[in-house]
This record gives sequence, C-alpha cells and structure tokens, in this order.
Amino acid sequence: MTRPRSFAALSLLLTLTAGACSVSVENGDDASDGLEDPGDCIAVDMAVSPEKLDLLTDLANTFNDSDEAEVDGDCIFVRVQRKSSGEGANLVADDWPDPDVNGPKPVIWSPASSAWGAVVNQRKADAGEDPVAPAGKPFMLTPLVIAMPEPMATALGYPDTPVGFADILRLANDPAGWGAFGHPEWGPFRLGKTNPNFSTSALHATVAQYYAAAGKTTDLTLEDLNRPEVLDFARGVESAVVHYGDITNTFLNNLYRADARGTALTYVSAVAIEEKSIIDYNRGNPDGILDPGEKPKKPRTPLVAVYPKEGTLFSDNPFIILDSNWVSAKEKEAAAKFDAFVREPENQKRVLEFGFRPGNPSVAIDDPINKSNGLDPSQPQTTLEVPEPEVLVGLIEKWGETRKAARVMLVIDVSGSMGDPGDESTGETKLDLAKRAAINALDQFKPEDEVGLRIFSTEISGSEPTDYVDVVDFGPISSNREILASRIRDLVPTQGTPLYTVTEASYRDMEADFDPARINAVVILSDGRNEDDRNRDLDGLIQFLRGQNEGQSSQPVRVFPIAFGGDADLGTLQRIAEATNAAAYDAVDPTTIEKVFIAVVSNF
Amino acid sequence: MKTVGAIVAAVVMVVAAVLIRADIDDARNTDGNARLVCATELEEACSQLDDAVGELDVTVEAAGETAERLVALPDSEVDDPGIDGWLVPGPWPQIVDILRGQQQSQPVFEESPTTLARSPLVIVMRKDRGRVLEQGPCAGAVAWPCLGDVAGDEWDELGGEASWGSVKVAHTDPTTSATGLLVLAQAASEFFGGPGYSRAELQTDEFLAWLERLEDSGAPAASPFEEMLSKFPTAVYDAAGASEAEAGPVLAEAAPDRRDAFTLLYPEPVTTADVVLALTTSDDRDEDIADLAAGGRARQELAETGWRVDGQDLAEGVRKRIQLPAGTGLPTDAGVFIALQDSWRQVTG
Repeated sequence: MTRPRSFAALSLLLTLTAGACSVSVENGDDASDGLEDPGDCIAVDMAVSPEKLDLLTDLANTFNDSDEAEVDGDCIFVRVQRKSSGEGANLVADDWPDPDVNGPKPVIWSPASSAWGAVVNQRKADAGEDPVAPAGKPFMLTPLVIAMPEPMATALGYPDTPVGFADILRLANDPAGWGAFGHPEWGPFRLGKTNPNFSTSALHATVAQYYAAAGKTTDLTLEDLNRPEVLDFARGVESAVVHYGDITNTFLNNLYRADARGTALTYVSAVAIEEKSIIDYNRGNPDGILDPGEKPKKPRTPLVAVYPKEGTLFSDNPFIILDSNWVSAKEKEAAAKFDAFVREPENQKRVLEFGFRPGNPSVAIDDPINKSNGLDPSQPQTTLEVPEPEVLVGLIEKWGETRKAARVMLVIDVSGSMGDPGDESTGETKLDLAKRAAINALDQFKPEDEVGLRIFSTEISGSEPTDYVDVVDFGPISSNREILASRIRDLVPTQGTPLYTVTEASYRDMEADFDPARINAVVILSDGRNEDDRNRDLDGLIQFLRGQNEGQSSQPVRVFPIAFGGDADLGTLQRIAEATNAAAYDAVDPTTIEKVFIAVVSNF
Repeated sequence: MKTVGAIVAAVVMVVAAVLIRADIDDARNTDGNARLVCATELEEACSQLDDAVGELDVTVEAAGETAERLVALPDSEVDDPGIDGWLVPGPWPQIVDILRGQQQSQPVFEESPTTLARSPLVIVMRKDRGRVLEQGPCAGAVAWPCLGDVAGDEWDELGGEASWGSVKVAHTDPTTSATGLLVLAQAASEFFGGPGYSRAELQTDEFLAWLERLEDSGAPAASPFEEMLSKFPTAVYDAAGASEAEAGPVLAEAAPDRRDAFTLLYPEPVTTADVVLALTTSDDRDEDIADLAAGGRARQELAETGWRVDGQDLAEGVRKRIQLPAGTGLPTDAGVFIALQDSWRQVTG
C-alpha cells in the first residue's frame, strides 16, 4: 500500500511519540496499574495526558461517590489512567491493542490538545475507516507562554513592554547575548526547547517560532516553511538551544536545582511551556508532582509568563467520548454524565486549584492565575492560528533539518553482568537488548550529528587507559552509521564497572573538543554499580561535573545516563545527570530500553 | 465438487440474507417508540424532551449528517427512513427533498412542517472591538458587510490595539451546521441588501471575493461563540454568528468579566432561525411524533432553552424588546441555501 507522504510523516510522529512515553526518571512511566475494580458498575475508563492525572483522579473519586454516578439505575465507575497525548493517539488509531500492556480500552480520551483527535481521525480516514474521535468540548485550558526568570524578563521591559516570539528569537540570534541588554554576566541567550515529536507544548512552540520567522500570525503555508530567510531564522534560533528534551519538566527540574545553587540565570534564559507549569514551578514543585513527604520550597528566582504579543496557542484538554467499536451506547451515556459533572461550576473551581483555566465560562479566572505567581489573567489577548495538518507535518520535518546539531559520545557498559538475561521470553541478554536499541537509535540522529562510541569495563585494555576503549572515533553519523552499528553488534561482556572513571574521562574528552555550535553530550548506559576499587570518589566526581557546568563562560557537556536493568545504580546516575543539568533515564526493565534510547536521543 | 460448491454458496447466501434482514429490523422502529432526530443546536431541549416524554427515542446529530443520510436513502426505504420526525432549524428538510428531487428520488418529508420556535440571528461581539468598528470602518452599527470588509485586517490599522492581532470572524460550518447555514444566509442577505438575491448572484466575483475574505479570517469552528467565551480574555475570534437561543443563555450564565466583555448584536433587519418539526411521509410513521408537533411539551422545552415560543416565558438571556419579522427574513427558496453552500465550498477549498 502506498501511503501519502503526510500520513507517513504523521505515522512517524505518532510512533516516535509512542516511543517516548515519558520514560525519564522525572516523569515516570505511563501508569495503568492499580486501577480499582468497578464491581457491577458501568466502567468508564479514561486515558488522560499526565498533567491532569491527579485532578481527574480526584474528580472521578468524587463522582463515583456521588448520586450523579448513575444511568438507568446502574451505577457508574470512572477509572483514570495516564497516557501521554501522543501515545494515546497512537493507541486509539490502532484500536487500542493489548490492554494487558496498554491499560483498559478507554471510553473517554483526554489528550492535551484537540489537535491529537484530528490526527487520529486523519489516520483513520487514510485507512478508509470512519472517524472515532468526535470533537470534544474543552474541559480546561492553559496557554503556551514564554517562561523567563523574572530578572531577565524585566531586562526586556516586562511587564510594560509587549514581548513576542519574534523578539525572543531575535535575541537568541544576537551574538552579543544578554550583553545587548546590559547583562553580560548572564552570558549568551540560552533557549530551552523540547522535541516537537514528543510534546504538545513543543509542537505549539515550533508553530509559534515559524510564524515569527515568516512574519505572520495566520495562514502559515508549506511555501513559508521553505523560504530561505525562514529557514535561516529557524537555524539561528536553534543554535541558542541548550539541549532538547522529551518533556519540559527536564528543564524546570534542572532550573530549580540551578536556582538552589544560585546559578539559575546561566542555565536557561527562556523556555516555552504551558502557563500551568509556571504556577507549579513558583510553588516549588517544578514537575507538578509532589512525592509523598516532599515539601515544596519556593525558588529564589521565580519565573514569569511572557504572553507573546503575536498571540499564542492553547492546550484545550478536550473530553473525547470515543466512537470506537469497543464503546457501548450505555458507556457513552455514562461518560456523558461524567463529562457534565466535571463542567459543573463547583468542579471547574477545582481546575483552577490545579493551575488550569476553567473550560466553563461561568467560572471566572481566579487564583492562582495571578500576578503573584508571575501570571497575568488578562492575557493572552489573541491567538495564533493552528496550521493545517500538512503544514504541521512540514514543521516537524523542517525542525528535524534545522535543529541544533549534536556531538555525542555513546558510552556503553560491557561489564560481565551485561551478559545476564534481559528478556526471558526471547533468551536475549541485556547486552543483546542494549545493542539492538542503540543501533535503532542511531536513525534518530540527523546526518550532521557527530557520534563516537566508547565501551567500558575494568581492565578492558592492556594499555592506558585500561578501563575504556574508543571503538569508533567521532564522525558525522551520515558517514559512520554503519561502522557504529557494526561495532555495537560485535560487543561482548567482559569484567567490572568502572563507572566513575569512565564518566569523568568521557566528560574531560568531550570538554577538550567542545564545539560551541553543537549540543555536546555523553550518553552513558550502565547496568550496575561502580565496581572499581581504584576510584570510589562519587562526591569528587559530582563536584567536578558541577563545577565544569556552572558559570556563564562554562562549556557545558550534558551527561545523560541510562540506568539499565534491576542492578543499575539509578540514584548515582541521577546525581551525575543533575550535576550536568541533564536527565537520567530509567530502563530498569531491560525490555524498555528501545523506548528509553529513543527518548534519550530526543535531547539532540 | 460442483455440488459442494453450490451448497456452500447457498448457505452463504442464506446467512447473508438473515444478517441483512436483521440489520433492516434493527433500523426499523422495533421498540414501538417514536424516533426523533434533533439538530445539534437543539441538544439541550431534546435531552429534556427525552427525559420528559416516554416512548420517544431521541438522536442528536449535526443537520448536515442527517441530511446526507436522508439524501442518499433509496426510494425503497422511504417507507421507513429510520426516523419519524426531524427537529431542526429550517430549511434543512426542504434542502433534503430538493437534493433528492435532483436525483429523481421521492421526497422524505411532508410539505409545510410545523414551526415550533424561533430565535433571531445575532453576532456575538467583543465590546471593545465592536466600539472600534462602530467608530471607524463600520461607521455606525456593526453588520456583516462591514465585518467581511475588515476581516483579516490588523486591529491597530483600524484604530484598535496591536495586541488584538487581526480581525477574526467565525461561524459554524454551513454544510453541516444548521446555524452556520442560516448565519451565512444572513450575511449574504445583508451583502445584497435583502433576501431576494439569486443563485447567479452568489457566483459573482464581488460576492465571492468578499466571502473569501470573511472566511479566511477565522476557520469554521464547532462552536465559535462558546470558544470565545471559554478562552476569554483571549480573542480567538472577535465576532461570531450564532442564534440568540444558543448564545444568549450561555452569555447570561457566564462569569461577570465575560458578560461585561461581550455583547449580542441584532443586525437590522432582524432575521431568524425557525425550528421546525418535519414529519416523514412514511406510512409506518409513529403518530406520537405528530402529537409532539401539536402538543406543548416540545415548545416548552425549546422555550426553556432559549428559543422564543408564543405564549411561553423567555429564558434568561433572551431579550424582550426584539421584534421578530413575520417570516425568517432570509431567502424563501431552499435552493438558494444549497447554492450558498456551493459558494462557501468554492472559497474555502
């Protein structure tokens, strides 16, 4: 079957997004475990995007206990599971396969944006099938804003001077950086961006970026995307990017830690995120999730929301009652009851408590959307038009071409334990799984990215350095993809795990050849604890990494560790990541390594 | 071997016939209830009607969906088209039968459906934007011709604020939404100076250019005025066409900041959306549906949800002082509405 190009690209988008499924340590896995038994009630299963899981679980519990949870004498039991918007779209489009793995088939699907419903229906239409995602009413809203540390926004004239995406992006292109605004001590303008293949806010931010580049606020076309000046502008903006990421929480967590050390202003200058995230950050809860016992502490330097003067886009959180063949008429009726329940004014006030704007116009915007949280309830004044689906696909393709190039050292643990079983159902070892995932992930780099391969294990080499070997020298992935794949394929497990030594050495080597035009990073995959009697100085390593990453003149190399298998030292790897303002990734279940590798590479 | 094949084929045909018959029976009125289809705009009233009236099966869907299905209905099924009555703002039942006539098919509906309720067509407008237009390009009252002229212009060029972006005007899709089609007819009537325009005039360059400008400023939305209210203070649209019945009660219930920021404009001359109950020509029609047309319950539910019904109180948000014309004030030939849909498709691609 020949598929239209746009469908192929959308499929790729969906596949990548499904692959991401929020595997960084900071966000946790998609959750469907622990769902309660609905008993004899009509079960209304919901799949919701992660940021509203707590809110909807709370509302579902209230509803289930209320008199309203009834249809024709039968009780209704709403169950909520977390599913990232992209993965949810993929699953709905594929008729929700394998409920044992993916969770129960939902009656209601609530992604972050209605755009995901349109994507699903387009995919169905391309397959000659009826649409399954009718337009759902917004349940709650949050606009995309430019989050900036308050002193930086003030330097730009905030709040009196309107600031737009175009201003921010011009600043990102200015070689004088913050020096142009009298603050050379803040260094260059550093932009935080996530990967539009993965997150709704990133997709919206990329739309806004291209509108600014094209000098438009409506009717962005494919022709616009191909104009040389638009592409030059886009490349300039991308050059200011610190690193990409699968989720904005990575930036906010890193910024929060940097703030605690008094170095927030040299980590990131601006990041496009949802308004709600600023409330969470300023409350001292940067990822919006409070673990048991965690006490929020407000940051020293709060963030403020700059509402782009050109307009912005909304995450509208629709309640989509699916027309899929597994949804019965009675379940639809029950779902409609819950839909009506969450729109009641009393429940829409709960929406506000969680930092969202109510979808019911009878409830006024109120606290905590206020100036003390860095927000302005009288903004934004206008919107940017959501481009046509084919333009959205084109945007993602262009982003892939113009994004900042990377220089990445892949560092793979080949210690003896990597020969342990990884997937008992196939008999593959952990190393087998890691090799396949690493080889597949090579396709996610763009041709200009430079990638090298280092392997490590104690006494792996007869000469100095004895604990690691550079198997493939750095080179553009376009020319060394095959040799990288070949060398990875040949790896065999050997001795112990000199984690600290190889981390520091890799960092130093990357720093020595630092390329300011690229994202410089180390991806280190390890399945165990440091097993090196000659180097047990973790605190020294952390101090070294942190010292190299701070200060406006630093040459920051980001270290993205992957904790692979049940014996991996996740806590230590997290400390290593945090010391370099990066993120650690959790592949404690070895069979998840493919998803994890794709998520890690989304940082580049 | 041939015998075996013939037996298999016969079994397949029998099974298929049984399944097809079962499908037909499913579609027929097997539970004895009257089957009412309601246009989306009437969902709230129909939901209340469903609760209040026993032996009534209510389906709510966009007028365009119902129309598409009924236009495609073979003559052999006109005797049982799957519904007994259609509650919808006119002239959708006439549109269905005109389109069926064009394909030499029998009509589905009886002529002259009963009008149950009415509502003036309005423009939901941001007050601050409206003031700028009144004092500037619209030179007085804001109406559709002026909105079409300024659609897409930057507000700061019209005397407004730069932060408002461009002028964005919206309505629902006139090929699927009953209100969307009526709003478009209202806009065209104002453009031509009255409802007496011909199908040929809808194809003039002047009209098509004006319509294209209007449509380019804001994509058709599922419910533009609700989006305007829910995303306030953001002006997703600056103005949107709607019926008073849809917009008035919602605005009346809105939070004070929104009530203060929006107004309903009633363009002169007033035009109306008239809700009709169209009865099918089927001999098997459940006569409970005719009772619904004659009785007061449907009228009562419509009145409670914002429609104007003689003898019934006005719902909150429905203005007392607006005088409705004797007719709709829109073209009387349903064929003109079909031509309007064609023009709209032409300019929106």
